[in-house]
Amino acid sequence: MSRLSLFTILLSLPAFGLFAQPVSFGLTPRLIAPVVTDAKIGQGWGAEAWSKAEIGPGNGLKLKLGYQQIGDYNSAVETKRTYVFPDRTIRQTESARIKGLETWYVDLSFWQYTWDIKSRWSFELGARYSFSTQARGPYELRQSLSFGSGRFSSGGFGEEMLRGHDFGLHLSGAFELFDGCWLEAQAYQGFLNQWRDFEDFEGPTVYVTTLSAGLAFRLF
Amino acid sequence: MKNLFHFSLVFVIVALALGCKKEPPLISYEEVYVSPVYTQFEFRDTSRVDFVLQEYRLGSYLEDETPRYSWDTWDKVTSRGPAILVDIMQHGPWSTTTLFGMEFWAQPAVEKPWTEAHLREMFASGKVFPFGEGPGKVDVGFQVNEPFVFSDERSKASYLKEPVGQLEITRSENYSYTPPNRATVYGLLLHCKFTGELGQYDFRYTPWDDGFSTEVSVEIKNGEATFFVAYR
Repeated sequence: MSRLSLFTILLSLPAFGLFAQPVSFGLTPRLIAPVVTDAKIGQGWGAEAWSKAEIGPGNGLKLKLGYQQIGDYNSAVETKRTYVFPDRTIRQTESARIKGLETWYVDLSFWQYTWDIKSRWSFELGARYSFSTQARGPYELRQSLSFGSGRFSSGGFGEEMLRGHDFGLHLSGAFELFDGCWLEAQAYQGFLNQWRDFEDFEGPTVYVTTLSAGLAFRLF
Repeated sequence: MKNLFHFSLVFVIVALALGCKKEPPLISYEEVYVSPVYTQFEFRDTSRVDFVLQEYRLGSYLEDETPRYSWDTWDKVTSRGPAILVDIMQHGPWSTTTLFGMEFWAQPAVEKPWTEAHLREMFASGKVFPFGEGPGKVDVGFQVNEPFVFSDERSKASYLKEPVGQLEITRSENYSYTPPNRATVYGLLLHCKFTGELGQYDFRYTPWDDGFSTEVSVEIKNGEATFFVAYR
């Protein structure tokens, strides 16, 4: 499903009257602190459009479509393979290093006021599916064939190195600064290694862990 | 509500623990694959009293100073029928030399030679190929000494007026390999043993002429080989 379709669905939920209770719509820009390689804290940013509906007194569901860029990873793999076939010898070196990740995501959360319906504090627990994930960082493929000929390529990661999607959970807390504006803090944990599974050996791992803070604005 | 907060706390701790996992900045992996192809035998020519062991192993140059060999398979059509050749080539910086070879002759009546069906039938386990030239035979060639002038100065079974010896297929099995970013090559991995005599090469008598023959032989014994023939 394209990002545009998801965005359209998100916007049209209130119009279809899916939720019998009041529905609001808003935007949340975020600053993100990913926990990167060797437990260091990286940098990133993101933004999401959300639609929020009440399903009971003081609680409800929130659907989000977001985009984020996170960086300062330093996770790399290098494979050297030599194939001696009866008619040719091929030496191949492939190296890739993840420095950053950018991804789109859809997110469904349950939210609830913490103490009572009039509280300015609320929290959310949600599940997120990330897709169209791309990596930033160097990638090289060198291949030499028998008797001198060879090829070299460099550029972006292909599907053969990067998983391209993720699934995870997040926990958020929000404080309503004033009517229609919340300060949010969120912890997210992805469950899928962003490197692909290498068949022959245990490759590197990058699980997305982020802490973030943002301002959620209700637009209508 | 209390349970949810407990869950949340555990979740954050697990998340940070996962993120804190230490890992080397670079994970390296190295793999070498060599097709199981080789030839070995003992030989003796007129200049030697004892037999000498000779072996060629694909990829041996990866581990020591052995010259770089390759196994080249090609086919030809002659007036006496089609033949398929397996040649071991040595690659140097300036030239390529043919060191050893087996030239298998098919029956001339075959309509589509070297297909899977034909190769399976031709190289069935237990099949025997007498040394020599012509349908149903194998011409074995071996370069006994360093080449003097040409890149192919092999002594051959067919140089003898009366070729002596035979090659027997001991086992035949499916084998395939997939070069990176290329199509898989399918064929037969053939195991054989051979013993016999070769007519010694002599450049003074132009052995490329069809009528060339000699009575000087190179003896071959305890020969064994594993080679690959791709389906065409």
